[in-house]
Amino acid sequence: MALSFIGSAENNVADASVSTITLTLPAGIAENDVVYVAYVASSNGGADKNMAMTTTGYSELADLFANDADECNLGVYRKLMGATPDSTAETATVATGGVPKGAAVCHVWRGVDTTTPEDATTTTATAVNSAIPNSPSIITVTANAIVLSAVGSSQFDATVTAPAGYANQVDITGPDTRALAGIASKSIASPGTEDPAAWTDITDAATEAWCAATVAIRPAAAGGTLFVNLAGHGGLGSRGGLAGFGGGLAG
Amino acid sequence: MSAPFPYNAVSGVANDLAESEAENLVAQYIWLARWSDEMNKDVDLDYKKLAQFAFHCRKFRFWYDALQARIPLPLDAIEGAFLRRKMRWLTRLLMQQDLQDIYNAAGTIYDWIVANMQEARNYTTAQFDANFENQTDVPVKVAKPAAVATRVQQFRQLFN
Repeated sequence: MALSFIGSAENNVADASVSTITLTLPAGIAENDVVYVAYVASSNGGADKNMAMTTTGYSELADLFANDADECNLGVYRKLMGATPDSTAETATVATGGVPKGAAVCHVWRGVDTTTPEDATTTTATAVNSAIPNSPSIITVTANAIVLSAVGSSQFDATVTAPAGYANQVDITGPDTRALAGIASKSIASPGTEDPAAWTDITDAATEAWCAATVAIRPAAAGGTLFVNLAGHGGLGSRGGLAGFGGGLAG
Repeated sequence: MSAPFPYNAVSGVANDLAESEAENLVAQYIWLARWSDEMNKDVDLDYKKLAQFAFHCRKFRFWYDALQARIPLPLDAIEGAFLRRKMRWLTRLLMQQDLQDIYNAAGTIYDWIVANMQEARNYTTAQFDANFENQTDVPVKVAKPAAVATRVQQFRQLFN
């Protein structure tokens, strides 16, 4: 089953130590859709904040920290939607330490392998003296996987651009001063190494820091394959039917 | 003839705040339409849907109030946000009337849910903030009370 992009959402808060960020998810969301959230908190307090989600059911794929004059904290999360899907995704507040500006974005995908949503272990990278995030490489193993470049920066910048070849860009900066969160995606037809380029059009400064993760989404298997092992049984009639033969439904 | 020049076409210029508020208003509008439609059709009452519906009632009013506080009313931004989702009224006046009706109905039904459906809160997470914002993933369905069915049906009728 091919992966399809359902939509995205974005929001920010002026102080993530006192306010959560609520993302209103795309209204077309359905059971078994998967939500990926990138949540950034950034202050000049130099604190490694514990990033988390308030909405239940999210699995943490990354919790990163890079410390410069302005720090960057990035959390990346995933949730498989249940029978009654969530209409919102809410981040948790973070510890104080300066006044952390908050920014969060999400992608919603359909057709994800619900048993193993990621096609590879999420890879991560961080850096200081730069505001320009660059997601690390990842090795996909399934055809037509989707690779997400999920990034955070301490920089305040409302107009940024995803790496070349990446689509479905969603990004938001803090209400002021700091924090930038973004996600963009690329379909990888043939399994192998994908190394997203750096995001562009971001005002750079040596006082900034960034964090980035690369997530590979595994598509669900395309339908089931019926196999029946008849070898050595002399045909269907001799055993009174298919029951008892080695067989099954895969996929 | 001159083609429209986008007001935010210059790199580095942030989107207008009213446009952001209008986007949020439409996001709540869409969820109100979906949950009222689903709850109206459901045989049972899904507490999670009810709680999320209440949340979006509250947020719809929040963003509507934010837009109404702007002088002049940013009708371009509001209409534009709906048009981007292919939702169009014959006139702006009709759009304003419908949004005002939904605003009023959202306030009425939210207050009623808070006052009369407290049990829905039992199925929220520990961080529950009294605004039906954080929901458990455990599906909880009960027989739909007639009072809920009637109110949801009336709310659903606000939409096509």
